[in-house]
Amino acid sequence: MQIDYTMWKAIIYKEWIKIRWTAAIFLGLGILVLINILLRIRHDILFVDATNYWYNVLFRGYNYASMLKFLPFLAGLGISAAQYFPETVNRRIKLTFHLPVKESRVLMGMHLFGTGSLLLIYAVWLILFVIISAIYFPPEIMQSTLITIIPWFMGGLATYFMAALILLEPVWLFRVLYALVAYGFITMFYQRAGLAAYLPALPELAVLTVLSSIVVLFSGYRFRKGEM
Amino acid sequence: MRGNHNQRKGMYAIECKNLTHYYGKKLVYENLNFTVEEGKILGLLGKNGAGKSTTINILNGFLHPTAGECLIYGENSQHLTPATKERIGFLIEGHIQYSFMNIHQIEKFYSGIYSRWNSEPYWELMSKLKVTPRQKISSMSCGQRSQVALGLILAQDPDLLILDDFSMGLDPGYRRLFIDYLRDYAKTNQKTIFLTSHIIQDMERLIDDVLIMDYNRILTQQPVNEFMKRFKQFVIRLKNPNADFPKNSLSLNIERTKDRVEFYTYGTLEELKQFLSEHAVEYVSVEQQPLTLEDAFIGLTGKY
Amino acid sequence: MMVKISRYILVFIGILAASVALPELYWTIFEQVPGTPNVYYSCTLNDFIMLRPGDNGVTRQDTKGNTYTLDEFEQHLPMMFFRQLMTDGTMPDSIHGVEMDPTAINKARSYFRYTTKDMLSPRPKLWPMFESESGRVNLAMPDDYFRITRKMEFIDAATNEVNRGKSEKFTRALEEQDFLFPARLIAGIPTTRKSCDEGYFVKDSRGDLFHVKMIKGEPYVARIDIPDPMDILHIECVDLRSKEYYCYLFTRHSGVFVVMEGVYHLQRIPLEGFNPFEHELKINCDMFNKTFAMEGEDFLKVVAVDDMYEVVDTYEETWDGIFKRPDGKMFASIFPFELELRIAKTGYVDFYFTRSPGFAWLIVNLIFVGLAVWLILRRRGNLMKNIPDLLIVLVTGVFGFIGTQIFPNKFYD
Repeated sequence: MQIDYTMWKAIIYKEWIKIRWTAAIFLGLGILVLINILLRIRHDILFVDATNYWYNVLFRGYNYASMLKFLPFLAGLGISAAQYFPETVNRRIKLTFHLPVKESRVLMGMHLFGTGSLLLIYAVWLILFVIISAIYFPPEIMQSTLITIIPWFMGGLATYFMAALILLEPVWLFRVLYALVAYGFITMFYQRAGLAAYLPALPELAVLTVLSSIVVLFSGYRFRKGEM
Repeated sequence: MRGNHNQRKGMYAIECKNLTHYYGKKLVYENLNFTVEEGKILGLLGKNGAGKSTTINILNGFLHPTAGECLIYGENSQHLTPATKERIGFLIEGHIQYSFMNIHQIEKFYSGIYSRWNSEPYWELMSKLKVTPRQKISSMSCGQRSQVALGLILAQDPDLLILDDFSMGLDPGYRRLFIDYLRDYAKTNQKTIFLTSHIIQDMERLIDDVLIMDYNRILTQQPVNEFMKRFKQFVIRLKNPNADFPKNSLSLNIERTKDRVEFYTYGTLEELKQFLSEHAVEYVSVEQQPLTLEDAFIGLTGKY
Repeated sequence: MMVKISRYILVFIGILAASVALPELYWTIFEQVPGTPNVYYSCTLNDFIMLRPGDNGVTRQDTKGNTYTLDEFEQHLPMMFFRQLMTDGTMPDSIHGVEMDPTAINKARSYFRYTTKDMLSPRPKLWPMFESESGRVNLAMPDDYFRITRKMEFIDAATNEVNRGKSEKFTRALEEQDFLFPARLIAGIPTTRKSCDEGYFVKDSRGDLFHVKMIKGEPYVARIDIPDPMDILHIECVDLRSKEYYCYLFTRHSGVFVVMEGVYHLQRIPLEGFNPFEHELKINCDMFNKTFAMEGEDFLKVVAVDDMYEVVDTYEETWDGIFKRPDGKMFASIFPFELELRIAKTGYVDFYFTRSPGFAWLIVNLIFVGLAVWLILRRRGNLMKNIPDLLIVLVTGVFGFIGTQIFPNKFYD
């Protein structure tokens, strides 16, 4: 058990070294965007007054958090690349698979760490979003905006999962094919739609996001079996 | 530990049986059999494309053979248990390592992974490198990177070392130093080494057994001393540069330039002379040439 | 095991992606315009005129087969084109013995369109309560928005805080009318750009209907008598110049009603079979007639009524639904189903599956199964190990074929 603990600590240490800068940059970027959102709300409320601002949200579908839209996507892509691209350079993942752990377990461990980091970044952003919203808006407005932006975050996770699948795939042709499927899949989270329009699709999207969390095992297996 | 149990039971660290592999429709080899005894150092020599990498990949479980299997300490190499993997030190061709780390980070990482970790040989090697503590491995020279990779394997203290083209990128002097160090290390600590190399120079100082591979097959596997004793090169000067030169089972390889024939064989001079007279080959002289392992390798596999 | 599961997940995701992308591509290439007409009721002909887009331009034809030029068309619809007719000097002085007065014509005219999307879209939960008798000409935007949950509450936008006094006053007024909180439906016209304010129509938790507005800062709440088994699904308020009625009520089974101004009398529109989840409704009103045109996927039904809501004429037309047209038939024989995330019918994003009718697609599916079998045999694969894949292709056709090929079923041992 002791050995297991130090081993996982070591594996997490390696993953941390890979993603720390990317994670920090995205965390900071998101915080800057949210500060910008806060300042813009403040500014606009001063200029057009709160009643009109609320009116635009309630009846014209104005989304004050629209600047966030592709940030979770980019963070998912960034973390995935930071974590898995170094493993594919010179097929370095052979080293990882050679570690004295079951191959699928080490991969899932890495994946879990990446997912956790991404969730942590998202959590910070969402908490800031909720705080900003609570200052200026009633729960109804926050809720409908939250329903609008939640799919973007789920899409960010799905992007992380699908990018890992693509990066670890050993055959270029299949990378391209996976990318096509990933495009079709990820766009499901980023449809252009009115505020709160995603409400009925949230459970399905959540299930799909959770399901896609283990797809990296597939290309990991193909890599290990020497597909070329 | 289960590994130790196997170690006592079997006398082979590696046992490959009826290995057959195709890439698509292209045959790499068929029904390949070889073993590596525990405590021995075996060198797998072969030209590029002869199947060295394929064998290494199957051995490490990164390639599923079309048929047959490789056993490492009695376990199928496709499903090695973590305990067995811990006993194997693996040097990837090109000394690939996690080069986004510096030498301290990578040592910290691996020390958490391997229970038998002994950082002494690693730091000994690192102290000789002129690198800054925060320098990433990726920014090091080829030779420095190879020493990091080798140092890590030594610190891992595995029972079986699989070294894929380990001498690549090493300076000749350092290569010899390292070969001598490695042999001493292996013999003192009862390690088994399976290595491939395309630089055959100096290899006879290191290996116990030689396994020479050509396209689709194994040419020979035997103790290197025996091979060097039995395998001979005779140079025959022909009277007529245009005369045909016969072949039979005695001639493993013949390289001819005009009247000069290099005749490679396991046979003796008497057997060769008898063969020449049987086929009425007129010659000026026949003499045996001393061979290095590299010469022998080229003699056996041909220049092309 | 987990790897095999991950492959099936990928195949599933592949099928989803393909069943969105391929049909979308198909429709952009092959979809044909159905060419449904716009139907008008002519008070001079006492007949319908169908305006129909065609290959050779627009055709205008009545139910007897007479065709009309643009000028004739306009002359037969004087209520609609009175401005044009007056400019041309062809406007009759009187119709049906009623003297033609532009002001009166204009006052009686209104147009309204309902689509399912109006009901099936996210609705705001906060609304502005206007002062309906401020004594001023223009309406003013209030500083607060109200919600009706466990009580009625006004939230001040500038401070984001509840105005307690006002909230309590309105809550009490609702309670006095036996309003059961929370509100299930709130409808009004939340803009200052209207002729006057009539507040909101609110359905409570019991399903009862109330009229709520603010007069000189005080709440005005009226309970509206509605027939017992009336399940109001949707309310659309209108701002008619004629002040004839406040709003349209769309019910689950009882049809469409209007709520008459002042007296709150519910007048049922004599339009049978209207389903607010499926059908579109266009309402054209003028001095003499109202026409209600209800359009479904493959039919159009128009009812013209007089000013007493008595039916004067009806017109019905049917056409081939999408899957009976050549483009739809071809679709149904290639694809077993289609997945869309956004459809014209609703404003919500969801997973909308449409199964192709019939079983013509089964042939194409079987061809793909054959193709898959051929590919497996060519790779010297084991058919038994591929039975789940083949079943997937059998059911999902081209989508499953793509999914199973992109994520190959290649496992060892």
